[in-house]
Amino acid sequence: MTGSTVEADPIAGKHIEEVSALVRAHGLIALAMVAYVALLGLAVAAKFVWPDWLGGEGWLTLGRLRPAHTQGIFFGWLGNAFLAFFYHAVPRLAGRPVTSRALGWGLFVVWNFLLTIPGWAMLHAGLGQPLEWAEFPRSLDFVAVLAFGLAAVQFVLPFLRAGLADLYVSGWYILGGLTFTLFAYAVGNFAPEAVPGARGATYSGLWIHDAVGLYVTPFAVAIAYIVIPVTTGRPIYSHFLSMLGFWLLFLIYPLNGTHHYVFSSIPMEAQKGAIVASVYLGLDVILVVSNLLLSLRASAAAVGRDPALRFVWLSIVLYLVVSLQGSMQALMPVNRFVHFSDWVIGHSHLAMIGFASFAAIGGLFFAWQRTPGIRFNKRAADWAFWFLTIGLALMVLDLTAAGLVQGGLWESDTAWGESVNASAVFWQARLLSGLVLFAGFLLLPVALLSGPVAQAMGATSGDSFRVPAHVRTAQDPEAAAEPHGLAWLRSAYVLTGVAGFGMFLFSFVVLAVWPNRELEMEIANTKPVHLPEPSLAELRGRALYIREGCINCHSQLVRATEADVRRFGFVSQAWEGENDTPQLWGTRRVGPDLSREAGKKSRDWQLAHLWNPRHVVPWSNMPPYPWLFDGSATKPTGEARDLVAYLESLGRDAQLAGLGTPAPISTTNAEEEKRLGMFCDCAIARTRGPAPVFAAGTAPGEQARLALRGAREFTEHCAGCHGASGRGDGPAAPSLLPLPRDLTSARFSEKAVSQALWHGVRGSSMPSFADLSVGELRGLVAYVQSLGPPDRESVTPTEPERVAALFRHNCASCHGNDGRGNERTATTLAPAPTDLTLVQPTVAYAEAAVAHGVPGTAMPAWKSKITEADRVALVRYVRSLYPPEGGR
Amino acid sequence: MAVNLIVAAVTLFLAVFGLIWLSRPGLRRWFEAPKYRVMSWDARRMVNDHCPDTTRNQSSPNESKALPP
Repeated sequence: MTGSTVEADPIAGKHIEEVSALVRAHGLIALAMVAYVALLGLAVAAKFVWPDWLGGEGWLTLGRLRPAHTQGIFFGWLGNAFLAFFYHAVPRLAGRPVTSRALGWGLFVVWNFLLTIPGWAMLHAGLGQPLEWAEFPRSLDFVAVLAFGLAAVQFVLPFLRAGLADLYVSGWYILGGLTFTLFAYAVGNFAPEAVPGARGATYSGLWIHDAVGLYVTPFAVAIAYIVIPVTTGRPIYSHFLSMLGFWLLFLIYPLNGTHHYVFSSIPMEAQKGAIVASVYLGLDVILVVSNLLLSLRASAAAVGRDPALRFVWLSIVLYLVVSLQGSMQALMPVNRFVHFSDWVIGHSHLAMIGFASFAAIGGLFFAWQRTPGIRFNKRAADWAFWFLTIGLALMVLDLTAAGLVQGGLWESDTAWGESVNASAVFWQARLLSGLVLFAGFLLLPVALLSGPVAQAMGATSGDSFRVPAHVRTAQDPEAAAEPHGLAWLRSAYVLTGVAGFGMFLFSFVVLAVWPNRELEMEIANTKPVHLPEPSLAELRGRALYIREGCINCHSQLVRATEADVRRFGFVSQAWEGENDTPQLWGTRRVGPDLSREAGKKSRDWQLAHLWNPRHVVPWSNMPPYPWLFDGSATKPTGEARDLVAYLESLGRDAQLAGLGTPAPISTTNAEEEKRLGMFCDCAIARTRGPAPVFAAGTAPGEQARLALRGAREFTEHCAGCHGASGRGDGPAAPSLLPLPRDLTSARFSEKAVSQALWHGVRGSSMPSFADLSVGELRGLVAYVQSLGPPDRESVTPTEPERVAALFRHNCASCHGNDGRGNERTATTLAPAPTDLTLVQPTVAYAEAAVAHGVPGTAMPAWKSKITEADRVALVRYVRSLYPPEGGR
Repeated sequence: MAVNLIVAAVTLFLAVFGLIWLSRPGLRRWFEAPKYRVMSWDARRMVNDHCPDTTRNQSSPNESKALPP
C-alpha cells in the first residue's frame, strides 16, 4: 500500500462503514434470490416427476421455469454474492476505496431491480431467448452490459488508480473477470441474435463457456486465493504458480466454446481446436488446484473449524473434479455418449453449486464475518455445509448415473420412451436431493442473520506469521523496484488488458469469425435453390416454440453420429436453419430431437399431444399446454395451430433436398470421415423398407405369452388413442380425425398390424412404432389380434356374382377388384382404403361403415345410394374376401 | 490449424515463464512478494476497528504491525 495516512486507508473509518452497507445489501439479496432460485429448481425437478403439476399455468411451465432457474443462479445468486465479496476485497487488494458509494447503490439497483427481477418476470411471461446462459431477452441484455460496465467502473478503477505492478493474484482474477465478461457477454448475447443457424451457434458456444470461464471461475478462484491465506494465516504456496494458472485460464478458457457442439456442422477444425483447448484447461486447473491445496497443507484444523474455509476447500476440490470431467466430456468418444443427457446436468450442477456456489458462500461468510456489527451463526453455517454437500453429492451421482443410462439407451435400438421410463427413478431421486439442497440454502440466511454479533475477527494464526526478511513490500520505498530490465512488468494491469483482450479476440476469431466464413462458403456451395420460404404461421409457431421453452427438452441437431442418424434421420446440414435467428440447436434432450419432425405425426396427433401429451404418449413426461386451447382438446387456438405448423415444417427443406431418399447424397468421403473419427452416414439406410411381418406365434402358449407382453406395450404406447380396451375411445380420441381404430371391430391379420406399426397409417394419427423392439412389436401384434372377434366359419356370400358386380361397380375404384385397396385411385388417398384381404370387419362395423361412411377418410356414406339389402349383401361379400387362414 | 496454434502458443507461454523463472532468481522474489500482503488483512482491520476517528496525516499504527520488515 502506498498511502501512509489513515484517511487513504480504504478499510478504515467511513470507508468500512460505506462498503459494509453494500456488503450487507448484496449479501442479503443474494440469500433471498438463491432461495427463490432453488425453489425454481425444485419446481423443475418436480415437474419431471409430475408433469401435470401446475400444468395449467403458462408462466409456470417447465420451459419458462428452467431458464429463470439458471439465469437466477447467474445474476441473482452468484452475481450478488460476488459483488458483496468485492466490496470487502477490492479496497484491500487495490489499496484504494471502490470508486463511489453512490455508484455502488446504483449498481445494486440496476443489478437487481432493473435486470434480475425484471428478467425473471419476462422469462415467466415467455419473453426469453432460446440461448443457453443467455436467456434474458434482448432488451435486458443492454441492462446487463450496463450493469457489467458499472461493476467495472466500481471495481476496476481502484486497481488502475493504484497502478499496482505487484498486484496479488485475486486482484488479477477480479480485473480479468470483470473486464472480459463485459465484452464476452455483449458478443455472446447479441451476436447469436443477429447471425442465424450454424453460424450463430459458433457465437452461442463461445458464450456458453465464457459465462463459466470468464465470469464464474475467475471470481470463485479469486475468493479461494483470499480466504485460504487470510483464514489459515499462511501465505499461498506459490504466487508464481498462481499467476501462471491465471494466464493459462484466460488464454485457454475462451477457446473451449465449440466443444458444446461437437459432431455438428461447425467446421471440424474448430471443434478439434476446442477439444484440445479443453484438455489444456484440465491441465491448467490441476496446476491451480494443486497450488491452492498446497496452500492448505497442515491446515486441516482450520478447515474443520472455519465454515468459510471449509466451503472454499470443498469448492476447489470440486473445481478439480468438475474441470477434469469437463475435459473428458469434450473428447469425442465421451461426448458422443453423454452429450444431451442428464450427465451434463449433473456436471453443470457440480460446477455451479459445488464449485461456484461453495466458493461464493465461502466468500460471503468470509466478508460477513469481517463486517462490523453483523451476526454470524456458526452452527447454522456448519449445518448448511453438510446439507449442501450431501444434497449436491446425491444429485450429481444420481444425474451422472442417469446420463450413463440415457446415453446407453440412446445408442441402442430401443424406443425413446425407454430412456424416459428408465430415467423416472433418477428424476425422483433428483427431486429428493434437491430438497436436501434447498434446506441447505435456507440455512444460509439463518447463519448470517442469527447468532451473536460478529466480533472483530483476526487471522486465526496470523499473529505467528511474519513476512520473510527478503521480501520487500510496497511500504518500503525500495521494495517496489523490480529486478533490473523488467520495468515493463510494472505495467501489469496494462498487460492484463492487452493480452487478455488479445486472447479474447483470438478466441473470437478462431471459434466464431473463421468458422463463420467457412460455414458461409459451405452453405453457399451446398444449399439447395428454390426452397420454400417459411409461412407466416410457421414463423409465428417458431416464436411460440421459443416462448414455451421447447428447446429446454428438445434439440434440433442431428449430430454426425451413428446413433443420432439411426434414431432421428439424416445429419443436420449447415444450410439448414439459415432462417433460424437465433438458432435452436439446443443442448438437452429429455424428449427426442425434432429436426426431422416433418411428416412423422399428423396435425391432429400434434394438437392432441400439446393438449395433454399423455393422451397420445402415455409414458411421456412432457408438460401440457392447455393455454393454447379454448378449454378443450378439440378447440385449438390459432397459437396451437401455428405451433403445429412450425413442427410440421422441421426437416421439410432437407426432405425436399433429397436427403431422405433411399439413395443418400454423400458430400464427404467415407475414408476421410473415418479418419476424423466419424462414420459414413451413407451406410445407414434412410428408409425403413417394407414392413416385416411380426409373427404373433403359432403355438397357443407362445401366443398367450406374446399377447401378455403386448398388453403391457399396448398400455404404454397405444392406449392413449385406442383406449385401454382397444375400442378406439382413448382420451386423445376426440381430438383425432379419423378416429382411432376400434380394434375390437375387425380381425386384423399379422401383416396388417405389422404394416401399421412399421410405417404408421398415412392420413391418420397413427404414427410409426418402428423404433420398438421386435419382441415388443410381436407382442403388440399378438395382443391386437386377441382383441378382434373370435374366429368364425368362412363367410359365403349370397348371390356371389351379382354382389361381386355390385362391389366392382361401387367399391372397386378404391378397394380394387379383389379388395386389396391398391387400385390406382387408392394410392392418392390417405388413409388408404382398407385392404379387405388383411382386415375382416365385424358385421356391425361393416354395416355402419357402408351406411354412414368413415369420417376423416374417403369412405362415403352409401345409405342413400344402395338399398339395405344390397348393403347387407355387400358386407357379407366384403367379409368373404378375408382368407380363411387369417390373412397371415 | 487451430489445434496447432493452441498447442504451440500454450507450450511457448509455459516455456517462457519457465525460462524466466530459472534464469532470473531475483525475479522469483518479485513474483512471490504479493502473496505476503494479504497476510496483514485481518490484523489491519482489527486495529482500524479500534481507532475509527484517526485524523489526517497521522501515521497508521497498524502498518508496522501488519507488515514487518
